Amino acid sequence: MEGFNAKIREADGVVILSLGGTLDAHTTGELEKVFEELISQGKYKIVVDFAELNYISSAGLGVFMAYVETMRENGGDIKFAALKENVFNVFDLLGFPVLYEFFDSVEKAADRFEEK
Amino acid sequence: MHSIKKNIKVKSLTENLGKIRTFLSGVADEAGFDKKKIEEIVLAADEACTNIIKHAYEFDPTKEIEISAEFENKELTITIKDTGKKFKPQSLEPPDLEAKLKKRKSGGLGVHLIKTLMDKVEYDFSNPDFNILKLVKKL
Repeated sequence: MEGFNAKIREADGVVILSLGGTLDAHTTGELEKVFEELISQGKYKIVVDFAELNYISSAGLGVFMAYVETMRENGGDIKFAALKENVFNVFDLLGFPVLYEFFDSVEKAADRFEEK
Repeated sequence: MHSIKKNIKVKSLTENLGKIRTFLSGVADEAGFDKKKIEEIVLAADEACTNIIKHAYEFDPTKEIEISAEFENKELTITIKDTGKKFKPQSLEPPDLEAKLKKRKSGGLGVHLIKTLMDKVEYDFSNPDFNILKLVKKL
């Protein structure tokens, strides 16, 4: 399971970005392209659906760190949903849950945007 | 008490990180580590090799990374050797995530993970021709 894929759909003004496979230093470039594209389209409310992501290294976390401030400055955010335990552990070890919101489902993460 | 000794050599390319992970996952499994510890070993080695590719070799794909894995006395020792720039890891302190976030920078996260995930981490820059990083995980 060494490939990587990213799919986008939109629901009520929120972009659901579904990731699959392996996000390491080799595949981060693909995710960066997706974020650049979203920003160029003025889309700042992002829920990342990790359900199909099997592996992440700090290079992958670096991508989210690079873009989250831009999203927040424009009234949006990046929210994290449906992470597998091993993937969540990496975020947790680096202290991400203090600065980012994690949800067990995409729906709950997307609803959070509507509450505000 | 069984012992294992295996090694691989790969070109310094991010596409080889998968090969490195598969190699180490196989050795750790053979040594009898549980799933969680195998994941920790694999991630630590991925972080170490990513740093070598980016910082020691600065993405020069002609360079090589040599990895040996030795299991003995209930300890797995992974030795990673490169001939690149001597890249001193930053402090042992956990990274200040909030400050990094403001600067949109993620450097240093890998080193912190390596130290958190492994039982022992030793850098040896004493030889002018190569660098050695030893990562140890207890069964």
